[in-house]
Amino acid sequence: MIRRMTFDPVVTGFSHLSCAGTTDAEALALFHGERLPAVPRPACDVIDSSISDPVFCLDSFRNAPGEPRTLAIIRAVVAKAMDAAGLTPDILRNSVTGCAVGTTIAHQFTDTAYYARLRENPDTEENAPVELFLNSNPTEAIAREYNLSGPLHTVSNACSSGADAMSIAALCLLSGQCERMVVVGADELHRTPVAGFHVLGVTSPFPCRPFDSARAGLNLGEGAGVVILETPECARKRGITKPEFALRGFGMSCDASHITAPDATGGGMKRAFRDAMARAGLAPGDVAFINAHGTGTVLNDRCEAAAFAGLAEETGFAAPPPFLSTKRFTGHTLGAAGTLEFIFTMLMLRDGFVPASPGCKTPDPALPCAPLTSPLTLPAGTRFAASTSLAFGGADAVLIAERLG
Amino acid sequence: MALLLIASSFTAPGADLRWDDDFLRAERARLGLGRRSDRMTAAVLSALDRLEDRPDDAPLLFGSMHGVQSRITALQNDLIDFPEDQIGAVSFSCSVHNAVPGAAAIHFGMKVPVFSLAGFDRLHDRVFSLADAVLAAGDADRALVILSEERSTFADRAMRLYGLEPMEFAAAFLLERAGKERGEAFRPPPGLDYFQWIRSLLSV
Repeated sequence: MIRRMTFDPVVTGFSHLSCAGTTDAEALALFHGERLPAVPRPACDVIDSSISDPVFCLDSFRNAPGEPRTLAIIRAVVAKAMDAAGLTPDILRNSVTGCAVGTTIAHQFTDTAYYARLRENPDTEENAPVELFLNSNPTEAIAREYNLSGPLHTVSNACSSGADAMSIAALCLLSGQCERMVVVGADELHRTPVAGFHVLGVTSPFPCRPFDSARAGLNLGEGAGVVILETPECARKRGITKPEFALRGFGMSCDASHITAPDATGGGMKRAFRDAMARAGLAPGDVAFINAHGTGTVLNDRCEAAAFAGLAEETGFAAPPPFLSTKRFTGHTLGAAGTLEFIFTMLMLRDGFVPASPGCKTPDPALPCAPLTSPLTLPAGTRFAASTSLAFGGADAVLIAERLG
Repeated sequence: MALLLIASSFTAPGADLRWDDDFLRAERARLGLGRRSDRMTAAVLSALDRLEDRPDDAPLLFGSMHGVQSRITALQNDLIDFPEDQIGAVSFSCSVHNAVPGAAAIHFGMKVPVFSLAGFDRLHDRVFSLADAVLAAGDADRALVILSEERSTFADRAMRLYGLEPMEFAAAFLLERAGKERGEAFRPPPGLDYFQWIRSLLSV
């Protein structure tokens, strides 16, 4: 039985990097329509791939030769989040800080050229690529870099990895295993998922249009989101008495129905939502808006719309909370998506403004509810919003952000 | 960490430290697994099926250093052999790290939180540590931990470079939170980590 959490982990810093921008100001300008969304480019123009599906690439981000790209992105974004949270080496040394990284690429050896050489000659003495891989697990690399002594978890729950890293971090804090967690969601554009999603027939030849009747699928993207979560006591001890945000609740479930397709009835998403609400001590109607997973595939849209409408019906609300997808701004950043979109949710709460769901001009009439087609100005003092994720393996995840008074 | 072991079961390797393919074939037939079930999935589902008192409402925690190697190798072979990137759809979707616990959830109808962990540095200890956090947070009375490794040319090399003898295994543990009157907490004997301890349990 899920109960109200004994405390809400507080957010003492965050940072993000995606095609939505590298700063809060850039992301907000995009949400307000003061900047145009990035134009996705053919995958074959930006990575080693023969596929021309449009993807959202961080053109200006350069990793050093030989440095795994996801790890390089993580290092850059973690450094900014540490600064934002005011975390110094001294503070980290004198506290129990852990790290949870959600990723789909960085934990897996994907050097196809080396596989080819190994297949040709299984006895090759060339080990450098494998050694680099073993030394590049992002959680372990970040722990070494910052001397972290708390729990370390690399979670790979496909596209909900970033959201699940947040839930794992909260569990580590709630159980007393540590007082602070560095939470990361990150992924690079890579040939494997580009080929994989293409062959599954779910990629769009155009910029994605989640929840729109003319949707044609998803665009992949790359990026990272980093959130520093602390116990309120840990934050207080270092002088943070009024943190701006908290993780008010989280929920995870599994559809247990299909390895790739989400449950069209939204059953798993509803269970995750109910658990998140129970931990938060809230009802769905308390949530001002939902930043949906919204990849732009038919099955994703059906699942989420069914879940949101179903939750409203069973809790006696006339309509579900307003919802949107930000994937048109970033592409589907896989393991980064859950963390990145939780950060966007916090930014919208701070800003009091939720954009119309980008890319959705004519909501699909077959869906039981429609996303925001015009911007929403939040009443002053709005506190709660949700961010949702879906994934292969039938994973469902819901995070509840709270803007503290 | 204060975990109480309620039950465990294993799909152990043979003398060559690999699962016996005849055994896996028989288990696939016994469990009614489809053609999509790979070696690791069959081994994990077999261990879970033989676990006494297996609940269908316990959070599922899966840990593997290298994941489902037969799928990952097939995917890489496709990328090598087909420069136009026409990879097998099943190889891709079943190569993701959470495909095995996802398949377990589907097979046993477990509509529960699933945590899939990867990494190298004492990964297997970390999965138990997370199980402890899940139980300590009070969200569930029981947790199911699944650990599994599958061999391949690449995985063997990576394991050896990390100082570990490659071995295939699938292990399922049903855990509760230990209390003062509930007996001794579950932990490996002194000097062994969970990986070494599992090896000793499997007598290989």
